[in-house]
Amino acid sequence: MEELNMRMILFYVFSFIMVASALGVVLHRNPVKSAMFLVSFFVGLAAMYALLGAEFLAVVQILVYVGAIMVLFLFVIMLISVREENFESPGSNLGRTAATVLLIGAFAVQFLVMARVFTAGPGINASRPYHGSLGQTGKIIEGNVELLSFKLFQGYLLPFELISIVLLVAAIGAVVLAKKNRRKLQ
Amino acid sequence: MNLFSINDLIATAPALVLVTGAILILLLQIVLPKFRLQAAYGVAIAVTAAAILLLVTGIPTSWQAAGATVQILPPIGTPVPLTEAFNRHVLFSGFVSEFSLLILIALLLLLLNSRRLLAELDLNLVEAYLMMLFSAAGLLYFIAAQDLITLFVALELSSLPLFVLAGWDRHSKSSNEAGIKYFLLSVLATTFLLLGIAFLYGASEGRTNLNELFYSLSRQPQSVRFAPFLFGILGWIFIYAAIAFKTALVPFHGWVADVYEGSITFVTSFMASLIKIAAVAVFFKLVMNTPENHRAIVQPVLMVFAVGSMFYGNLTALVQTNLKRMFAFSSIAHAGYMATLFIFPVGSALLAEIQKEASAALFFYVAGYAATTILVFTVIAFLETGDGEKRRITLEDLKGLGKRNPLAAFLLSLGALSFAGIPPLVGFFGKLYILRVLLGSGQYILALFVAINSLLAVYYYARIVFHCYWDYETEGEKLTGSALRSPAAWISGMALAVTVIGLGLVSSPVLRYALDAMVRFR
Repeated sequence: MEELNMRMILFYVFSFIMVASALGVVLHRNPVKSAMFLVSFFVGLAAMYALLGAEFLAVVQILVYVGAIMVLFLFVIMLISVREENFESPGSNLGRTAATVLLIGAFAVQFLVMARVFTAGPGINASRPYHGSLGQTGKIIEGNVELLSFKLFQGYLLPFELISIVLLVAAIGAVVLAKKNRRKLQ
Repeated sequence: MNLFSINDLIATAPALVLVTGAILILLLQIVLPKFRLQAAYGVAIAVTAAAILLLVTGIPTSWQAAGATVQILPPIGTPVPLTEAFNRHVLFSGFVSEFSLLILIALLLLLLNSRRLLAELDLNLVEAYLMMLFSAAGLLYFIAAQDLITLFVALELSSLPLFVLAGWDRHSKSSNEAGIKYFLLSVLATTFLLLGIAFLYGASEGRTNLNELFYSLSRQPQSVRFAPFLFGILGWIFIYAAIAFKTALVPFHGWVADVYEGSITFVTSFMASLIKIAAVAVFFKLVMNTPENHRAIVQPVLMVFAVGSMFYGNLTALVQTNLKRMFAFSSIAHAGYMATLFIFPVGSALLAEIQKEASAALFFYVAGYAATTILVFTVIAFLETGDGEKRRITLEDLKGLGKRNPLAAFLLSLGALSFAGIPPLVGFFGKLYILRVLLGSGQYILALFVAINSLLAVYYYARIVFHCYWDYETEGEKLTGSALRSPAAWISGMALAVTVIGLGLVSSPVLRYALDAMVRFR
């Protein structure tokens, strides 16, 4: 129970950070700061993965999203130099304060309710270690990365391959839509 | 977990053929730079025809690995076995094969028009064919998906090319608007889908396979105080909402009119036919996979979708003057008619029988709807570009069309009359079979709503016919140019017209064929 409560507290802390920074992304007037809020959202998400026992995903989340994609975002934002004045403020200061207070209140209420529920009944079982067996060979797999790779290349082979086509389509589509002089292509 | 085998590839052969064709088009651009457009057009048509052939003739068992039970649609007339492939991520049944066939035929008919229509707008790029093939392949996987993860990825694969196609006319503001609107709202719908999948995953102790979900969820006690049951309900509602967005059902219809009107008409016909076929089929499949205890509670949501779409679509279409917008709203209403088939009486002893009848009626209605939609939008597309520049067609423009452009007037009226449900045409029999299923399963109120809406709809469809043939008082603006301006488009248009008339005449054998094929679902 002790460990469970610690997990729960961490879960609520990180989900609060995530929701608050998600709101920050949408509501902040300065695009660079919005992007920074997105970074903090991704870090929170990585912490969530770690809490669920998926350490590998947590690391990949940080590397790919925070490392690669956010840098690209910031690069583009700074390249096209959007100004703060270009955006209308989505709400008054009073409104934003009210939203923050409401958010904190909602989390507090939910936390208290959940705390009662979980201390009363059987709790979440997120701390269960990962293990599985590989159907035909009967080999027992322990550990995150190995299991993930088996899942990805055997169980979820079809969606995995389909995603590669989706990425191809996205790349072609982006070029077609963004190319300046499409006639010259022909 | 099985290892991957050649049978998995054979089972998804039609979709693979489309993907291969698309990649071939990409490579041909390098090999044959001079004839790249002709090559792309030819390859696109050839692979679509090949995929249809594969579906109709089936694959000889001698090609398959030993002990395999993998079979896609066997030669017409033989019963379809249930075939699972890719670790039960896709499942082929008679239902899936039939709707796949419908999608491929619709794609072929659209492709035949594509070259001329795109060229007249100066938008004939190789990538258009790529996008169409990829999207259609995604739709085939979408229909066949038996796992929610694959369902989601396939949905992405089918919609991503459409975002590009919706914004294809880059110099037109409305096309840009259509593209961005469709993209943003689709992404929102996708998050709904993912949230729904997450809820079902939680409710069923970690399952995403539709079959396993069904058995896991059907064991739950039907009580909202039981948390997994509640999450199951929420999950189904979110997933339904996401698919309802793709089907364009009220209250997820907000994008339809603007996107249908803003995109170039050729793309509109793609969206209104292919996407609708697939979305409706998947919706039906999901409803079939919702266990009875959940369905008893979720059903009112479906009721709102169906009745709301019928009334909203028809009442809004009544006041439209822009032809494309009118057909956009009418497509919402038609989605509503189809959605009435998703509703079954709860706790009926004859559930399996009703569901079978409903699936056959749905197949027939969708086939007729798709043929009519492509016909109507093709005619509109050719009329739009008739005098060299793109223009919007209003009802006023149709005045006296029967005299100036008899073929266009005839085809347009044929489509409108079929939509309205005038007897010898396919639309009438589609509605008749829907009513028969509804009355047969004792849902008299829904049947009444369908009947009322069919009457409402006659008014605006009849207006099109009236303007074409009887309203010479004030001469409308000239719509010149013949209706089908290339041999391929002529073949496609005539095939569609024959389908719209002929499918009505041979409706009962077709329905019987559909019934025979729908042996088992899950």
